[in-house]
Amino acid sequence: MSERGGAAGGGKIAFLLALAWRNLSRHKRRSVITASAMAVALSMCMASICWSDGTYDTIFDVMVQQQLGHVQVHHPDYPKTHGLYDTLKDVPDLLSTLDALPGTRAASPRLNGFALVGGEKKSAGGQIVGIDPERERAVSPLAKRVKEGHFLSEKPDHEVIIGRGLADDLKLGVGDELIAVTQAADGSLGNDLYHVVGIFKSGNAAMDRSGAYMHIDDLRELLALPGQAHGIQLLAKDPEAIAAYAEQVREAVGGPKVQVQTWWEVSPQTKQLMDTRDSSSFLILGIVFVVAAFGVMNTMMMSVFERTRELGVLKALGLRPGQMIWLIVFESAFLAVLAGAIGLALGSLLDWYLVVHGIDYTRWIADGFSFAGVTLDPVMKGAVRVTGIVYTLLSLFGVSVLASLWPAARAARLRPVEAIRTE
Amino acid sequence: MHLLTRPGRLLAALLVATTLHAVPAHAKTCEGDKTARDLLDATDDVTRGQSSIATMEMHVKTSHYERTMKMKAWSKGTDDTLIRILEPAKDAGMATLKVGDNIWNYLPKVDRTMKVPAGMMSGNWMGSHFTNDDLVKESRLADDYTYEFTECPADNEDGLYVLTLTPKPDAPVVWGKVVSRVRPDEQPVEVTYYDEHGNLVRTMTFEDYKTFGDRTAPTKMTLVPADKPGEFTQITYDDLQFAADIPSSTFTLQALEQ
Repeated sequence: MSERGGAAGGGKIAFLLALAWRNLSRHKRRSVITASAMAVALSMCMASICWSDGTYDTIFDVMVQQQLGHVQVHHPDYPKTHGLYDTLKDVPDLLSTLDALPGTRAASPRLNGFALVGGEKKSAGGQIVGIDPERERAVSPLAKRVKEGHFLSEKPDHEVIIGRGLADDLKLGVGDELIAVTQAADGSLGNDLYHVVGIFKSGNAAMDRSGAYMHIDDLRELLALPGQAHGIQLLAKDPEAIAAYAEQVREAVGGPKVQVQTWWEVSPQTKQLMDTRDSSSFLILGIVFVVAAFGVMNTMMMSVFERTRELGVLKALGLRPGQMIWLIVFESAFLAVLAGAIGLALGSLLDWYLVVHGIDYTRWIADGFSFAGVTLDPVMKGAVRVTGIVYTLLSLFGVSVLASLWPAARAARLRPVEAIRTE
Repeated sequence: MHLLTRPGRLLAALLVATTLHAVPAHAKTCEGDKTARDLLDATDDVTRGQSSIATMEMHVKTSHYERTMKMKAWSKGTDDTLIRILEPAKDAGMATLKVGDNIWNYLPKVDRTMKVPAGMMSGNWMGSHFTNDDLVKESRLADDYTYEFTECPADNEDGLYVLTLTPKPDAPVVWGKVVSRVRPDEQPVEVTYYDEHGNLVRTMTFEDYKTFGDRTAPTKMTLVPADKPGEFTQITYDDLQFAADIPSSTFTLQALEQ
């Protein structure tokens, strides 16, 4: 001891680290229990972040990427009027310009129409959305949501896929004919016959109830709107840099008849919803860490009390109050590193399960969650972000060090003579 | 009531007017033997005599398109109407059948007939400013509205009767008020339609009165929506035969699809 005490002048830090490590290893059981508790807290944190990120990603995917796209291009009046005539012109040209932008991952045009649709016996009003099937695959999982039959062919062939509700209302099945009648843009009564090739359940309540999708060229013909679209949905290559991408799109195609908006400009309500979720998950993480902090503080406090005599001896041998603080902090930091390693392993296991298998809510909610007109899948899968894990580890470390300061201060204030006499 | 002969209808109208509710106590009366009901029915009869066959041209102008269609219409009373599109080629063969409150459209391109559902009755008819409802409801002005003279020919420069119609309390109508101007010889001149707040919604004017056989009727009708400047729908009659004998079989789904 006295040798090491002498070494404190030169390798003070190294000495304190070695001492801290020795103290921990001399109380193996307590150290392991504390580290394990912290590791469990860490892994639970990782799992809850993973679950929360997964939920967020699912909601973001369904509500933003599929419904809105990252960025939208449309006629400036369309968001207000939803008017038949408020279209983008020369859409094929627009699309090739957009495809050529470096930030574009996918671009999909949409044309919207309202028509009287009917089968052999019954008819009803329905929303018809014209899509480019090949491009649509890149922006939405619609193709995968076709429950009976198949998705639209890449070339226009008078095919239509209809929502489950519409199929039931009109008593239509795959293979049946569907008539669509609508007021076309040229004033004529647009009407044509289509083949029902598929029935979908997309998760969009309105479309599932009374919607239909067909090839955009077929709908252009029905509505007499050649080469036009009501909007183009864009996905950015980097979902974290949507604003910059929108600027890129604005410079390339923006104009008096072409408005470019980010998804949060299109739907501030959705943005609000996503933000609410952000703050609520921070709250949960905060609570978890406060609990962990009290755990660490309690453990360190206990260990300081238990070692009053031992620490008193150290003080008597010349350890200064500042060094005593460092000693306790280092002990706590070692525990945090140990806990971090175990917790990371345990948490990774939990994350892996959440990512691969997810949590299946089918038992409680068979049809999935309905949420602002959108239905989410009943199996909620986790998502892992490296930054999330790094922040969690750093937080654990920081919290442990902070939580050890008070016990450290207690230890620093010990009076050697009294402490040594303590049993 | 519309199926009654002319004197019969006059009598019926008088009965209704004097014994029932239609005329408010303070109602204005005009000189002569014409009742408000007479004039209303006359307006109704202009195009929908007890039976008529008409060839007409419909010109529609909106801010987005301008188109002209030729069509032939058969009507019997106010209940049954069949309209067949002759031109342009793209729409030729399309037909609309109206029986009572129901409307069917026949679409030759797909060889199907579709009934216009209740929810789409307020939609426009063949891209014009007329709604499907117009085809159905217009025929019952006198049934759904209370009516009274608000001006007699002596009251205005043009020498016209002015009738104001207000909907009966439970009547399934879209207008808050309808004002009809009629010449003393029972020819309609103008009908204006207001919403429930009293704002002008649209104006229908009648011109070019011609005599067909023993009857006279305007041959040009123009519907102008108040909220869409520059837009209108104009119907011009090329030929009009009244009291033609039209078999009931004309107004069936089978006939529609021929």
